[in-house]
Amino acid sequence: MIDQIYFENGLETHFRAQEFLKRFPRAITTPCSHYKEVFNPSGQNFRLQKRKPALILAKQNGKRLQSIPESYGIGGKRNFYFSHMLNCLYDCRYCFLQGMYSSAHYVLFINYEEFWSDIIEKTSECPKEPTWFFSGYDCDSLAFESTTRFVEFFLPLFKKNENAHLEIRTKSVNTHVLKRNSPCPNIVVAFSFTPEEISVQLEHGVPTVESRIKAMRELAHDGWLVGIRIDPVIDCEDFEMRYAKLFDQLVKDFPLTSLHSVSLGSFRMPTSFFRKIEKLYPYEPLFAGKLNNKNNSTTYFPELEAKKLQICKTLLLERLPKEKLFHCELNSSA
Amino acid sequence: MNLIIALHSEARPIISALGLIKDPKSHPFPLYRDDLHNLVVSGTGSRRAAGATGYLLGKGLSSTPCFLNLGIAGHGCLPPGTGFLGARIIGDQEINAYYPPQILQSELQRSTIRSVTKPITDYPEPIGYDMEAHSFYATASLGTSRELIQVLKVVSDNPQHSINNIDNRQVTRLIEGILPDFLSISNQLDSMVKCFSPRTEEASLNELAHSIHSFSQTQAHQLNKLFRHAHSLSVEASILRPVLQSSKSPKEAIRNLEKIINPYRLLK
Repeated sequence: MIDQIYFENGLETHFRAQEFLKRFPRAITTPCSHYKEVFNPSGQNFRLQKRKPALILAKQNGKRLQSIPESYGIGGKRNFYFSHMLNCLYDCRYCFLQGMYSSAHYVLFINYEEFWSDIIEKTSECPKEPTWFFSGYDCDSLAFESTTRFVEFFLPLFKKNENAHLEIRTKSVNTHVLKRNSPCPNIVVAFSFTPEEISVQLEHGVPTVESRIKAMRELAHDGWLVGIRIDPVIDCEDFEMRYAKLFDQLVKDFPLTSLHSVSLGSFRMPTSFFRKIEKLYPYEPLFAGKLNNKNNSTTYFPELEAKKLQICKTLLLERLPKEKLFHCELNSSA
Repeated sequence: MNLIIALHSEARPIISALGLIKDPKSHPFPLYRDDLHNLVVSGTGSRRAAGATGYLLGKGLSSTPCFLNLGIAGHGCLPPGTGFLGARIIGDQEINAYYPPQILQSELQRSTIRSVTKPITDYPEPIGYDMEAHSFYATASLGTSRELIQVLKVVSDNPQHSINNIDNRQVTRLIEGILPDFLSISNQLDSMVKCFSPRTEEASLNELAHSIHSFSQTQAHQLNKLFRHAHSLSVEASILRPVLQSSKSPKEAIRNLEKIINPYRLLK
């Protein structure tokens, strides 16, 4: 799967880098001074690179935790996100990553220990209040687990530090690492969904909706706290019928005691990202939809967006308790 | 496909395999062409390679903006006759390294290439050594996407086989040995470009529109977008043509096209 691995000079002796190199014995390895030398140059084509992305092993020496506003969270007041990886195994057409990065290569920051010490530091700033950490903004938290062992590393640490809460956001069904462990009350495994008909058209390489629901349901039955992310909400034919069907599928045989939260978010991204993605996929029907550029953000026209979100909200409230529902605004679709 | 090759002895097998014809007017670099390929014989060294690449970029001859630097190279460890693709290209100073994205399907080896100013005989590292790749890449990347710029080399000399024992005939034979790899890479690069080319239907609608009305730059941009969206949304060109023909002004044409296309703006 990975044919080319770049590594920052000096990292080849890092124990975790050696593990990755062993895992891909046939991959060509190429040194670089800094990951940005490979990842950042302009004049790269995300779409072409997505055919065969390389893995870049790097160290995150910059700011490892980024704060996010309370309104974007799922109930907590102190919210941060961190990215052990840039880019995703999947290829969702609505994803802002295509517009944010020049390259589709996977950057993996292997200094997990330093991420953890930052998390501990941040948590200890406010020991009486839970601090939330979101891991799936710039990548899928679970999809690459067999390579990254990200959850395997962080799960026991979060388990011991109950004040630090983690959201693992994913479209993967690769839940073995969670199933091997007992549920953790401060970890939420959040699955993103669009209706099957939309998923087939826009979520390339992603497991089917049915298989994701099955994986989610199994975790919930095992006692894991689970989040449902209806994000982004996509305008489509038979909108109400399709979303109603999806929500029926989601709640069927689902133990509500394991449901942590459900959040809704409309399709949105910075206009500069949208323009870049539109150039990459000039014939993508999604981008010919009823979209509007306002305040440097591309979204559906406000009335349309409000209407579609209201439909989803109503449909969800018919099926789920009100206190479980959250509405995310303004952050980008992924 | 644009090919930058330092020596005639390296270019000969490619010219022959592709059936390229020399352009009698080309100056200052010998240029061999057909409808799909432009091959320039640059001469050796970084300045000539940069000049030849810039020459092709400036001419804008090719509808497929792919650039390939092909030729012989020394190597610190690979045996003579081994073809390889440049995975990292560095100059003598090791600043501005280039990393051609490795997205081609090929069994060829990958290697770092150091472009040196003078031929070397001591091969200090287990990497490739040439004189053109770095300046070629630096120039080509000013004009096209990096995935479409690749460097293909064949090992001519190494610590056991001196460059001094290589003559022009051997150079030609070495290039002949990697012809199948070259053809495969060339085809892959050309096919990558196709996904960005405007669809023929869209081009014919544009041609029709401009033959009927005189659009301003802004209107032409709006029109392009509408035709692109129409294609994305599977709106038949047969529905759009009469609208163009019956509209009395460019403004009305755009308004009428919008009216036709808007109801389709919904994901299936």
